[in-house]
Amino acid sequence: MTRGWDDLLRGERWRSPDTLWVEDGTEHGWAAVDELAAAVEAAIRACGPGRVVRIRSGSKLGCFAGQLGAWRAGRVVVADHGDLGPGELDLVRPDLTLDVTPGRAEPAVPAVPAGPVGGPDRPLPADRIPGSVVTVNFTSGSTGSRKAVAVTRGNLLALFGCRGLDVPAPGGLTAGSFATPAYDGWWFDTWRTVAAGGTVVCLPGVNEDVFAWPELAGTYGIDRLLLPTAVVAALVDAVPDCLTGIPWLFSGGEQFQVSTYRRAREAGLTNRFVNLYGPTEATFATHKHELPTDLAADVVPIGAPLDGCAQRLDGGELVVSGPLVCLGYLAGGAVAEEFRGEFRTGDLVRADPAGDLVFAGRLDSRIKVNGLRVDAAALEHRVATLPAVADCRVVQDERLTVAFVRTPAGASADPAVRDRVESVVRTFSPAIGVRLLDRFPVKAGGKVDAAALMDQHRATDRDEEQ
Amino acid sequence: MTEISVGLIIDCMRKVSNRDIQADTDIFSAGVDSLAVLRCRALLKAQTGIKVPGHVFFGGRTPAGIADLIGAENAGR
Repeated sequence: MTRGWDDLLRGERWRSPDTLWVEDGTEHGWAAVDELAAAVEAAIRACGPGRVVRIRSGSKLGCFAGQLGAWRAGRVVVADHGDLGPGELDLVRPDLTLDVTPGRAEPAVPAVPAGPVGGPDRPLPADRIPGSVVTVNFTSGSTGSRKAVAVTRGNLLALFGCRGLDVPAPGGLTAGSFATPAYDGWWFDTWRTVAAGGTVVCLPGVNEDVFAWPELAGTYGIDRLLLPTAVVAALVDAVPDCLTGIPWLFSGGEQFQVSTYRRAREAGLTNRFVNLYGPTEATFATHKHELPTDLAADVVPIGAPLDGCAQRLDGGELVVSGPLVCLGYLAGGAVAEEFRGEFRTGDLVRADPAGDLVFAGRLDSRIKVNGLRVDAAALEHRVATLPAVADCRVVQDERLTVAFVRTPAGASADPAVRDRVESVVRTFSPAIGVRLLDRFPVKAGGKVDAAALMDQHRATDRDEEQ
Repeated sequence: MTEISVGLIIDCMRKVSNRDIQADTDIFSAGVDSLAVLRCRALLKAQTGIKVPGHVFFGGRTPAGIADLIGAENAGR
């Protein structure tokens, strides 16, 4: 295991001039990235002992080379692309922050130590985090506040060796990169690609220049791209052309809706879709389902376990184990809770007739409405499979329970659609409100923003009362 | 930059958001979200061939402000 890791960090290919990384119109060779990583490693060593290094960089290459340099220096690395707040940093308590800037003309600019952050006055002991831990995943926080998950080198090597995530790439793998380092998709987009000797092409953000994607896909021959499920839905709906020319689209983070698949085919997209499932606590993904070219099912399964993942069901709850399961949660810069080899996902699943697992809601999706138990996941599923409905999300706050229903453009004003939705929702509880929307607001990571849905709902309610 | 006028932005924003947008309406206060902005940018590109970056919408906030920013960006090129 250590040998595979050492080879990844220090192998011969780091001397190659071949292109490893493409970002903002610049191609960077393996050797140039190696040089930047060497500068990071030297800067870390010059600052003395320590366990956790935070790499701060506005560029993804800076984050990547920073991770390489920090790993070579034997540290736990947290890459910060500008999206980590004090709450997240306090979970890991870095001893050192480095600002890494890849030069425009020069291949490398030395990293600048920025001093300790977020930690107490005296340094924390190095052994507060076991030696096998190399980095951290942050959960999305959709089931509470964000948590920091300790990821070991064994976790990452298991992910890199997972054949079930391969795509055909006869000329060498080229992967698009969408996720920032704060999300576990980063490991798939960047490090898994690099471990296979491939090339990473960073795509501009959707709000920057999504229209440049097809050109980048054509120029570099992008074989695969991972996107959050909600981003796939948005792009397929609004700008499907931007996804042309990328043979394999991986998607994860939330339930992949059949309506998204249908819309993609209606728009003439021929991409193959792979639905990934897996808690952040299991490195990146534990299950996958390759969508058939002709999808007949009314729900997209999460599929079968990837090689390297073992599973069992406990009262309908999916429990995963194997080398992809991370060490545990960090808090206050130390291991606060260990998973001990298996992780209870909190997700309820059932097997479909083909033996594929289907997501059937959260263990905690049974909410109380006016004192009565309601299965929110079952409601969402029933509504989402109605005609002219794309998706449904039940959101509850201290005062209200509302079923938010996403419909194709224009259908939100159709009284027939509203009637159908309301009659289904009433069978669960007459106290659940219904709101039809053309679209759902999403958070930075691409998950549906439940709080924003509720805020929007209350604001609209006020307007209507006035 | 004459191809993208305030009027064209208003037309596109109305189409994608089903809301009554005027030249000085703050589109985000009016409930327009990032997906609607994406649709609007796709419409503008289809009609004019111009790829307007999203930050122009988030910075401009009103059709008039957005048109100003598009003009400023192109004048600087």
